[in-house]
Amino acid sequence: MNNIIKNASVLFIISLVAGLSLALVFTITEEPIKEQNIKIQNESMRTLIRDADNFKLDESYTLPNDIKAVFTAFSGDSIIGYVVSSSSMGYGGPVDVFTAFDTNANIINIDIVGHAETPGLGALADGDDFKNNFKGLTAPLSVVKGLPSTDTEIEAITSSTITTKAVVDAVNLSSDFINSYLASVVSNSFDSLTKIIIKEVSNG
Amino acid sequence: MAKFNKYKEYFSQALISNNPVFFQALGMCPTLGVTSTAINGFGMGMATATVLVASNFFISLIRKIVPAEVRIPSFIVVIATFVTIIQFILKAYVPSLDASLGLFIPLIVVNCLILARAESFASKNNPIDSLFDGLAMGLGFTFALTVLGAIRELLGSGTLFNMQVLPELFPNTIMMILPPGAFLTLGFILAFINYKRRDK
Repeated sequence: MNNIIKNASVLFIISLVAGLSLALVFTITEEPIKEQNIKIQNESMRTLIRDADNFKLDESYTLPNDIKAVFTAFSGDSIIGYVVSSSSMGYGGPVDVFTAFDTNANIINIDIVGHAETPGLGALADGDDFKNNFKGLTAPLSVVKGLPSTDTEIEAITSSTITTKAVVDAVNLSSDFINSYLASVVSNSFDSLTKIIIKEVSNG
Repeated sequence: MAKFNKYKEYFSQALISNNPVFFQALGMCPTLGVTSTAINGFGMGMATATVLVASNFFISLIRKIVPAEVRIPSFIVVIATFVTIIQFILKAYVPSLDASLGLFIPLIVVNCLILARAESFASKNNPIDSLFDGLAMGLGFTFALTVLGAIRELLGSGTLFNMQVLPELFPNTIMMILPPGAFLTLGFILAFINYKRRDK
């Protein structure tokens, strides 16, 4: 009986010390980890829309499933595009894709920001050879084996059709989203614009 | 001087004659899993070595107050704590390594190399000896993983530490950076070492 109490209290003290030291390290590293994540996002977005000097996260809009975030790209005060972060299931896990759109919802470029695909096969999706295929296209896109014959087809990476499909799905999801987003944002800003005009008119 | 020789002996054993991977066949899961490039093998080895040094030292410190019945859970709690701390630090300050090792860092907790050293060495020896044992075994592990990663990267991608070594025209054997390549490479290295050892 005594033994049980002794064993349990030793284990309890070890766990307590472990828990406290973890809490301490977590507090110290919490901020740097957040900064690193933001830095990785920003670097990726900068390469997508080179002319942009600022990206603003839209937190007011309710995002559908599979869409993680939407950023508005500014050059000075004018909006020059949007970056949508979405995710789709690949071969080795979720594939996280950033899709950059111009203001007419055409794809500027894409970037793979996170994946666990097979090196030498699916991981080739993160290479420029593959990503450049998306430049200037308009979704919805589809995957074909062999050379694409129309502007909405993407050639599958050899032996990695599942990865290719995942990327194309993610891009299509982003495109669906950006269309509804643009529709609502434009009508919203129209609403507030009319309100201002009405206000100014009624104020004389 | 006697001490110095003793520690030197730890290192030469861990690196060559009693290497944790090539002789004790410990920690096979990360050995086979992450060694698709030399830099991954090196990174995983160093992360494991850091945990091993810290856990060996700490476990040796508490070896007299931990009752034998609960020593395994106690060791695991200590090891898991150090692993999580290392993961936080990597995420905060070396995100590129964190991205490539990703899933495997939590697996250090169940790396049998670390528990094996805790059980067979740290729980029986003083903290300083344990610290050196951890360092030696950790470096031996790093050495083995780097060699394995270098061979696989060279044959599979034609590069070494991300630098192009083989001419671009040399065909890359993709299988070498996939799981079968890990088993084949390790198998050939073990066969070669055993062949050499039998000669003596």
